[in-house]
Amino acid sequence: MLSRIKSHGLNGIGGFAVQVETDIANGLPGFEIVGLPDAAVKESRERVRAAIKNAGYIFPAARITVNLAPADMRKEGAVYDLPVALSILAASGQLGANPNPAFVTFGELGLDGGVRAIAGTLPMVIDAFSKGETIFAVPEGNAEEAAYVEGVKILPVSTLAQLCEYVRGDATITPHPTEQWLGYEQRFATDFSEIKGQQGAKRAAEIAIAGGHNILLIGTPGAGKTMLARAIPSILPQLTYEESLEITKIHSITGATKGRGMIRERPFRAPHHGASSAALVGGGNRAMPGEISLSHYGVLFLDELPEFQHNVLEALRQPLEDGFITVSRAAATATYPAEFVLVAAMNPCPCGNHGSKIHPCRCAKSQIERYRGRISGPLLDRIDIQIEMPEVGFLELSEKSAGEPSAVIRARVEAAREAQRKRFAEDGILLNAQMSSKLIKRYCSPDPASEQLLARAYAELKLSARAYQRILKVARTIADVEGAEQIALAHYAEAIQYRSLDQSGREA
Amino acid sequence: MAREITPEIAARLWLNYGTEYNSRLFLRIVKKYGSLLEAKDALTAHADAFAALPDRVRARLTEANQTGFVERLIERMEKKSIRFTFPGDDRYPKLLAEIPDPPSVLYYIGKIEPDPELSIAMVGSRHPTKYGIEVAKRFGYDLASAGALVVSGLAEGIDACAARGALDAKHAVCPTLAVLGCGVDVIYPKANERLYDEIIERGAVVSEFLPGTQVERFHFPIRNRVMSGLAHGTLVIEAAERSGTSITAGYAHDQGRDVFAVPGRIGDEMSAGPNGMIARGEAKAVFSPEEILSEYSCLHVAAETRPPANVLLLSSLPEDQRAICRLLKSGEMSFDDLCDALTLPIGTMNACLTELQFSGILQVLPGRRYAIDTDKVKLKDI
Repeated sequence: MLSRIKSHGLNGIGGFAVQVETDIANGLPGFEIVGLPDAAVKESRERVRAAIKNAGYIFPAARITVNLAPADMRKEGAVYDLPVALSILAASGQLGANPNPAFVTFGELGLDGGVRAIAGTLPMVIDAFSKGETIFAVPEGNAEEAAYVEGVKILPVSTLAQLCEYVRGDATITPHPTEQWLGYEQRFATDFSEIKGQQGAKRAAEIAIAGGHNILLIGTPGAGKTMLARAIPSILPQLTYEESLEITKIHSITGATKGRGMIRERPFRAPHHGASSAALVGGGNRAMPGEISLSHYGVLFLDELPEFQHNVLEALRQPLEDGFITVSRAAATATYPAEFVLVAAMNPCPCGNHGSKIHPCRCAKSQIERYRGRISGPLLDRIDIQIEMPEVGFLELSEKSAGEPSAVIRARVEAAREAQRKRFAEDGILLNAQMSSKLIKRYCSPDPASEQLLARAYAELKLSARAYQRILKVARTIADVEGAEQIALAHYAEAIQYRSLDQSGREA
Repeated sequence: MAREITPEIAARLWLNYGTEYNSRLFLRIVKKYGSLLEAKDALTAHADAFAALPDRVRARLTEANQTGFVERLIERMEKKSIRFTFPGDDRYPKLLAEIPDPPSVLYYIGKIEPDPELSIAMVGSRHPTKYGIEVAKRFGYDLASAGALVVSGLAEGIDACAARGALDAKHAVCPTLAVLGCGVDVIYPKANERLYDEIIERGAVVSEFLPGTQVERFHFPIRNRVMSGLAHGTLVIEAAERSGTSITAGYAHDQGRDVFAVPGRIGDEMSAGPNGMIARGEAKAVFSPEEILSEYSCLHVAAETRPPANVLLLSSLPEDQRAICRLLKSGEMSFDDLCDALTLPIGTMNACLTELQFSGILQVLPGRRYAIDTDKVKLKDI
């Protein structure tokens, strides 16, 4: 007898339907899986054999051939354990008269016949749903995340035996109720009101998020760079359902969502500076998403920016521009979204104390220059806001006033983003940071007084033409945050303050 | 103005090439044999006398004994406009000849004033505060304007500021001399390249190290004795408790020269050096350049006064900017401190600071701190 069980495979965050076909023929007992399986799929033979036996069924002593169709797509991981087992049981007539059930299924099997949660459930369900499938038998641990997709019937499966009884019609499985989108939550991010002092840097962060600008924090150790960075997700606009779904899809591929349901907070990713470029932008022989995709719609925080390897930082340039990354490997090619706010932090000099009153800096000027030079111009060009954070003494800290809570700042950010959406309605962009030089010309034309100030800054700070344009963009955002239609002199003047790296290092 | 190379000068260059910066060894050898020429004869003719010398010196002397070696050395120096002088030569600084171990050959680029009326060495930290920078520039300028020679070491920080201040005295004939810890044709640190060029133009860079010698850590203490030796007095501005500066001050003492120090704010790490010297009686506290000048009865009326800073009436500024300037009058403040002291919106604060900065009133210091640019403006609170 021949059986067909529906399953699904993933390629990036997209997917493809997989048919698991089993033929049982007379001959020397054997068990072969074909259809471009990888090592994990081949190993499933042993799990399937044991699981079937321990679930109380008989593993047929015949020549078994399992085919994973289409045969030209690579199949990965342990997700096919469950459909393969089901397919064998169906083909050997142990599941009754209907060997081709209507549901799509995937899951890893334990030797005892239990079903384990897998990575990538949500993107698979979404993709299969878009291809017309509506019923899914998924591991119990993945049921919650899958149930967020509206219009599907999710059958949570905890054991192989349970699913077999369901197929035979001997038992029913209560579908997992459709999960309600509970809305945005702020669980992990630091609140802005917890940060004392550093008002200048907080303001810079607000402007950065309002206009989608990347930001570089420069400060002595202990100035609060990391704390500020951790707070930034809390002032990003609230997540929408669609954004939440997209974030969860990406995180699901890495298996991070097992048993957790949807991700309802903006991601905050802080890879260590030892990270390889594959870890950052994505890679591995399965073309897995990297940190930049895992921080999609959230914040990518690179602490100690100059300590990152040069090639790793350079790899960031293209996704910073495009908002997505195509990871190409010999075995697989996948495209992942990567729209994130880059928050970078660095010390002002190798010893970290440049500009400190408490601990004098011991670095030679040339050392400082070399340290700062490690960040290439092109990368720096994509960071609109550079802000120096003054050190905060321990005693002063307790006297500093707390600031506004994140929710208040977020409201301003959302209003500023709304103003930008309206302005750029016909330009195909959403945020000031994305303005091309043509649009900058259209939307940021300084009045004569501002032009004079800008010209002086341009000459004295020896700004590049690009830096000049970035000042204009940031000034536009400042005006938006202030709710001003026109950019005023004060807005340009403030924007000039956010060029810290151009400002310092001009003494004697 | 090529110098005639007498056999004696050739012998001196030969022996200097061998002994390098070890001027004590040089002197011992010359003393032992009576004169340079006899020393050369003895060392080249008698193997035992030669064998007593250290290996490196022997190797270098043999190398320099090749025919034409000294001539080639001189030719190479001439190409780079490097000149040299030695004790007994009329271009050799008189003060330097008085110390117990004067450089046996002093190489230089530029022009040397062998007998300045007053010569002051200015030494201090490579990482000065804003206060140190201002003081060094002011003393350098005022001393040079009054006709004194400012001796510095061309390091970053106080050295560079002192030289810069001296060069700013436009009418001074020979305002400054820089003593290097490497060959005179080696620019270190690279950041001071422009300063180096200007010093050569108006004064000189000098060194006892052979041209082409690269920087070594141990060169600096050796160099420091030349700095103090070239000056009537050594002035200390901002230094940590134990530093190269205290070595130079120690040499000045040993050479019987004066040591001055400008007091710093207590509590600052960079004040510990000068304040400590004053407290221990090792240095005389000075509060103005005139005090140094009067010490040597060198009461020239300064040839010119420093270009007066623009007087700025606070009342001429908009209200917010005026409030910021009032606060900064009593010293530098960080952005955070300003925010705490004033209740301006952060955006307004940023805008005010930018405008003040580009009107030339404020300067930005590392660590996002702001200060009145006292070089350019003088604030009047009316």
